[in-house]
Parts: sequence; C-alpha cells; structure tokens
Amino acid sequence: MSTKTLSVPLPEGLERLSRRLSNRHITPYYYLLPTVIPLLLLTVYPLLRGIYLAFTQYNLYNKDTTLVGAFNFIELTTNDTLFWGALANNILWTVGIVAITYVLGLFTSIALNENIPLRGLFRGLALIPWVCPAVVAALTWRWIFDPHFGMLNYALMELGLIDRQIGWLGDKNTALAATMVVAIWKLLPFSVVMLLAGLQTVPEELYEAGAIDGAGVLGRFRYITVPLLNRVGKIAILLTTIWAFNHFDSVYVLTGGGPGDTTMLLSIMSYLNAFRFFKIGYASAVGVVMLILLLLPITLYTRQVLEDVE
Amino acid sequence: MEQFVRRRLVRYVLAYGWLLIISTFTAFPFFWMLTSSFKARPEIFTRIPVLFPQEPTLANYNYVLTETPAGRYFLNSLYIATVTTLLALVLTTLGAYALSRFQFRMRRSLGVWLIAGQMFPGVLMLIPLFVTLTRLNLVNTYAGLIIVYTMGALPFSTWMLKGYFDTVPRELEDSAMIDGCSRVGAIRRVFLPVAAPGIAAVALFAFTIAWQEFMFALTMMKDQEKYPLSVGINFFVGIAGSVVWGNIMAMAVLIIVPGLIFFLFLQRYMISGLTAGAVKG
Repeated sequence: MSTKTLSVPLPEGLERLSRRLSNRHITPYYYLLPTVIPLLLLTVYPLLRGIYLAFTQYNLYNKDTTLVGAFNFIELTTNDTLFWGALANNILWTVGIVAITYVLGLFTSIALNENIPLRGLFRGLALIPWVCPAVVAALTWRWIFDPHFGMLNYALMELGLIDRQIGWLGDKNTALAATMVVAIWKLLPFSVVMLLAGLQTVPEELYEAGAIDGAGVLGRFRYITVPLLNRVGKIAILLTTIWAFNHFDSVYVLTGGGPGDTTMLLSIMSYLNAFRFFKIGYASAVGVVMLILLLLPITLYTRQVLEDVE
Repeated sequence: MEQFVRRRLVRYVLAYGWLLIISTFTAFPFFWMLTSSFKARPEIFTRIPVLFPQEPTLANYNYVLTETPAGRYFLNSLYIATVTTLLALVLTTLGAYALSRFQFRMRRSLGVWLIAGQMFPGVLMLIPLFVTLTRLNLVNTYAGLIIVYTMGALPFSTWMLKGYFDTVPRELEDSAMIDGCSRVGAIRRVFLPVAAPGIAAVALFAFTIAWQEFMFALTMMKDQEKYPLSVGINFFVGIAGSVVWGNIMAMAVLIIVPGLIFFLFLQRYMISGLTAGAVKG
C-alpha cells in the first residue's frame, strides 16, 4: 500500500508485482489474512484432523497412529454398552432443554416487553446467569440440590410438595432432570434477549389494529406475535439446540455422567475416552457421530443467518 | 374505559407475577452465593437454611485469599482473558472490516465458515488441538490457552462485528479519503470511533469466553499454579470436598464480579451486537 512512496525505480518484474500487490482487488486480503490464517489453522485443521483420527487408533504416548477404517464406529455402535444410552440421553436432554428454554424465554420476553415500572431491573435479573461460568453455576446448584442442606428440598418440604429429602443429583430418576435445570438456567438469558429483540420489532399499531378488528389477547398472540417471531424464534431454537447438544462443563462438574451413567452425554463419553482411557481415535469417533447429528441444525442455522443478510 | 383499565391491570399483574417467578429462578443462585460467602460455618450447616447471615463475616474471603491459591488463579484468568480480548479485537476488526467493505472471491464461503465454525462439537476440536499443541510444546502454557480462546472467539465475533460495521455508512470513510486520508487513516480517525459500540461487544464476548471456559483449560493446564479460576475452583472443591461451602461461594463471587462489572457496562452493546445478525429493525 505504501509502494507509491518508493523513490528508487524497481526492476520491471518487481514493479509489476508491486503494482499487483497494491491493486484494489488484493487489498481485502491484507485485512483478511490475519483473521483467516489462524481461523483455518485452528478450526479447519482440527476439524479435518479430528475426523481423520476417528478412523485410527492413536496412542497419545508413543504417538503411534494406525488406520483402522470404520472399526471405531462399528465398535461404538455394536459393542459399547454406553453409546446408545448416551445418545438417548443426549437427545432427551437437548429436546427438553430447547423446548423449556424457549417457552420460558417467550413468556419472559413478552412480560418484559410490557411498558411497566422496574422493567430494567427485571431484565437485568433475567439476564444475570449469562455472567456466571458454567462451573460456578454447577457448584452453586449442587448445593441447592444437596439432599440435607440444600435449599430446594427445604423449600419443597415447607410447601408440602414432598415429604422426604430427595438427593436430586444422586438419584437415578432425577439426576438428568436436575442437570437440565442448570443448563436451562444458563441458556435462558440468550433466549430472552433474542425473543425480546424480536418482539421489539413488532409495531404497536399492529396490536391496536388487531384489537380494533376484535382479536382478543390470545388471538393477537396467535396471529401477530407468533408469526412475527418466526425468524428470531427459529434462530434462537437452532442455536440453543446446537449449544445444548454440545454441552459439557456443567454436567461434568455436577455428576460426571453418573449416577449409573444416567447423565452420560456424548460429550462426556468422548472426553472420558480421550483423557481418562487415552483412546483418542475412539473418542474422536464419538465426536464425529455428534458432528453428523448436528449437520442438519448447523446447516439450517447457517442458511437462515445468510438469508437474513442477503 | 373501566374495562380498559381493568384489562391493563390484568396485564400488569400477569407480567409482574411471571417476572417475579422467573427472576427468583435466575437470581436466587446469585443471592445464595453472595449471602453464603459472608456466612460462618454454623450458619451453613443448618437444617433450616439461613437466608441472610446474622453475623456477617469476611472469614471466607480471608481464607480463600490467604490459604488457597485463589488469588493466583484470579491473576491467571485475568492475564489469559485480557490478552485474548486484545488479540481478538485486532484480528476481528480487520476481518470484519474486509467482510463489510470489500468485494472479493470466497466472501460468501468465508461467511458460511464464520457462522458454522463455532458450532462444531467442542470435544471433537479439543482432541486434535490437544494433540497438535502437545507437539508444539504449548500444552500447559498460557500461550496455548490464549491461542485456543482467541480462535474460539474469532468466528462469531467477526460475524457479529461485520453486522455492526454494515450499519456504519460507507460515505464516512469515503469522504475522509477524498479529504486526503489514506484508508488506514480514515479507518483509524473516522470509522473506528463510530464503530466503537460494536467493538465493545466483541471485547465483552471474547473476555467472557476466556473468563468462563472450562473444558480446554481442564485438559491443557497441568500445573496447579497455572490454573485459571474455572479449573481452580473445581480443583479446590475436589480436594476440600463440598463441606466448605462458605469458602467455595467466596471463590465463586471472585469469579463472577469482574464479568458482572464488564457486563453491566457493556450489556447494551452486547445485546445489540448479538441480535444484529438475527433481527433487522
């Protein structure tokens, strides 16, 4: 870009090169290279290598890689007693979280969209889990869920809803639901922010017109709010699906997959295989299965975002 | 008229009722964390939970800051998150500017990659990155984590910032360039000041990622004195057991406060940045 200031005439070849380098068409790449090169190195390369590793048996210590074809996948789907359970947990976990987060987010954003006093305070309170790292969330909730000293059991017993203490995280029947609560808590702010932004694009006149035409509260909700939230809602649902499906931190801290593998998720299973049992290839195969299952939501999301831009 | 007032009242009651329920859910853990960090032991192990400490004490903070490496963890996190934020700001601004202002080949493919790039399963990326960083001797170093976090923040931040830059009129730089500024000069003097809110959102986003991340740090940091807070607090619970809730909650408050301050200042930008791609006004 500063080639014009050079006073010494360049040899012809270099001159042409320098002209080409300062060409308008090249300029974007000066800005892009610092972003793109690291991006390629740290997202494209690991992704391709991760997929490759799934077809190998790799030993972390002597760095021995043996190609084994589809062996890991066959082993995973036919011989691993954990896999199908973890897959089922993952799907149940994701669907439950996405649905509940969406509904809670929708009600909350509608309430926050009302022009009421203290709106800012309530919005802040609804968004606050955002700043809480998943590990801290998990530890705090672990105490709330504690069978003897936890707030939850105390509150439920005071209200007469349960008559004896429940070990929420230690009981096979409740552990998965308890971990879901923590994940919903962490994802709710995002859902509220997205849906609230969507609601704020709905012009007030539309509701007034609806009211004049005789539509009740429910009618206006059904025929004005819902269709207009369609796009934002889709994005919120797709993103929470992807995040919930990939989630690791809080479940690892809360239960580590237990009790009795009832909270075993694919990400935990992959992590344990890689870093506890050092089965790198096998763990990568679990990751590839996750990737395949996520291809549809990732594609839909990418298409939706690009469509909005163009 | 009376009907109008009554309907309005119903709406208020419904909205407040719901907001009270939901903010109890979202804010109670924070309230519990904060008050418990000031409780002495007897108030923690009670059959009937104590909501407000009767005799507030700083003993928990005193203990975690002097008897545990929490202060060290805090500085580690601060260092990692600050460097990550600065790196991400420079790289993201350059990339987003090009995406927003220039036409070039592969623009669309790059966009697709930026959007999809951070949706891949974390564990699938973790394993090969761990293998590669081990080879490069970057495991168990701050640099290794900083690289990983910067890259983690990059795709989404670039896309978010591009959305923001698109709203800044092109004529701004054009007129500065006509007045004799170089493009770089125009960006620095005219464009960046206007685009500051978007850049602030990226800063918050990158800082949050680096401050909160757990899985990569857990895998990559071997030496205790290099742990960031997220891994440090989990490690502390692992050795001390869950009997020392007061101490754990004091550590939790230490983790949350910087993020909270950052968030209070920048939340407006964060929200507009996040929704820029999704909602068009």
